[in-house]
Amino acid sequence: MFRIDQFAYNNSLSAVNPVEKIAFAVITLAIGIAFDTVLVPLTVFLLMSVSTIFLARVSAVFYLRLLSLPFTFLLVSMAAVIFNISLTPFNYLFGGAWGPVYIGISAESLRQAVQLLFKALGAVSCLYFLALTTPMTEIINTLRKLKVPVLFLELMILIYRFIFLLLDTAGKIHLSQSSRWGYASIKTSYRSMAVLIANLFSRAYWRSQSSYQALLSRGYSGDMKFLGVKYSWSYRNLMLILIIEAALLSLGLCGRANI
Amino acid sequence: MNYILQADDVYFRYEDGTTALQGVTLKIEEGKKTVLLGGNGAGKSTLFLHFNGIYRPHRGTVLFNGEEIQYKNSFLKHLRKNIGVVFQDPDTQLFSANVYQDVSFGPINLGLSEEEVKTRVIDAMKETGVKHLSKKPTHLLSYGEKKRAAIAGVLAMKPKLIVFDEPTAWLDPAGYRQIVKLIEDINRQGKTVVLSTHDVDLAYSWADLVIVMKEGKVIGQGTPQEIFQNNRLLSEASLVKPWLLEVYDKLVAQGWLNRSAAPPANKGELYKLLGDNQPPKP
Ligand SMILES: Nc1ncnc2c1ncn2[C@@H]1O[C@H](COP(=O)(O)OP(=O)(O)OP(=O)(O)O)[C@@H](O)[C@H]1O
Ligand SMILES: [Mg+2]
Repeated sequence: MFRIDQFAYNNSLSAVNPVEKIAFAVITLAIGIAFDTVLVPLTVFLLMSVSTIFLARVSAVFYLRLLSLPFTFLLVSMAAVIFNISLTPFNYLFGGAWGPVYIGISAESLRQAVQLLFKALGAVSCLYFLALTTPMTEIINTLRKLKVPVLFLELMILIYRFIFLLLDTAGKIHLSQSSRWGYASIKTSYRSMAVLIANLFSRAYWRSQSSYQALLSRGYSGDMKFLGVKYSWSYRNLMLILIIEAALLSLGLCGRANI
Repeated sequence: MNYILQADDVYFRYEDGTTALQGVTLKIEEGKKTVLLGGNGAGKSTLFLHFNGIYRPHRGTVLFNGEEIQYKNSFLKHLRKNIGVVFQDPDTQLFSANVYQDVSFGPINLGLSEEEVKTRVIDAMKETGVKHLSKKPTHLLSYGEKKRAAIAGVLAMKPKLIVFDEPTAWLDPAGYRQIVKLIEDINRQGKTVVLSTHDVDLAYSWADLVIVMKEGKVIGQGTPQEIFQNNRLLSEASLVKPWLLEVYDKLVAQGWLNRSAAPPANKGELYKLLGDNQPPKP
């Protein structure tokens, strides 16, 4: 979490207008999941990974570690799609009857699973590109320009800030517990964890109270406004994004015509 | 003498029944440095939040510039523009993602033009020495940097009086000196400064007025010399003597130094006294 944020503030694309980066990520994401092929999401995945590692210069090792996070979920959902269970026999590649039930992998389910894998990878790479190149504050500022309701924006600001405060508080409680053998055995671990969670919430509550007092002290009156940094537009970047997206789109359309 | 803030017989009880203030009466003179001393739970932080109208006394009144505080929006706005509070824990105060935005929060709330906000933010960041951190996310700052960023956020509103709740707690010696110098500079520009601390040495050599609190009451106030020579008051408030006075008293008791009209106010004065007094010949 901390590392993601550090890259977001400090990468080779920091100076690029956030709206351009957001547009690039979001449009690519939309194209990547719009077509039922493998080719388009695969291209999206490669494009985004190359942009993140070579253009933004995010550490490749860190990027791969991040990619490995959603893999478990992905494998589980793939398994669910791959195996067909049915009461009537169907056209399977592998599998057989198991009592009255037929279990197996069909060509269709295999195709779906592979598609799912690549679509998910493509989508994740788009979101990682955004998360690793664009600070949350800039994303919120852009949403503000898009006239997203203020309530959502303020919630985003506060949640973003408090995630780190909660992590920090939890880290401190955990440290103090483990230095007193709180996690020495399974039994004490369960108890310590329960205490940690209960404490975290009561502390978060008190903290939110004093934070609110601090907001009031600085003249808060129901609308959270800050000064944003001004960025200039780069026509070169905009043209580049346009060309890339057009290419992706035609790739998807051609692929569909072929099948 | 112009009193910028006055508390008159203020009582305050928290929802859970804790009586935090029991008849606090005090006056804060404009342009001066006032230090509030008192052990944990004496009610310092609670009192501070009365100064800018966050808490409302159950009994008694708080006056700003001689005028009783009215707990309605227009008055509170005016009050909070003039009385800035720097909270003890900078994490409760910093809530935006980066330093620049956080500092801009107060001045924007004042409804200033974007240009004016910008100059104020830059000036405040320069003064507190966090300019180079302006784009850094607040959760990546060190404790001392957070503290200074929080002060910048208050300075940018250009208040007349700034309240610092334990500004030197948890700082390393370098950070300590930095913050004390910063508060001193702020005072030199004509702003009234009120701070709470457990640090008797700081209170002794730095304050114009010292107020001692205990269990929600003011049990003594006066110049640092008056307060710290009052042994009865010190023991009642469980305060120790500043090292300077302790050494001075010892030197006098041993006959190494003649008791002067006023005890030394700082290290330099003590050295001067020592230099003027020839050591006794063996
Ligand atoms: N939100 C709260 N709810 C209930 N009681 C509180 C609350 N905040 C403070 N108190 C109580 O009010 C009393 C005064 O607390 P306060 O924080 O003002 O003291 P303090 O002088 O600032 O102490 P410290 O030096 O520890 O910061 C204490 O007894 C404390 O337990
Ligand atoms: Mg306090």
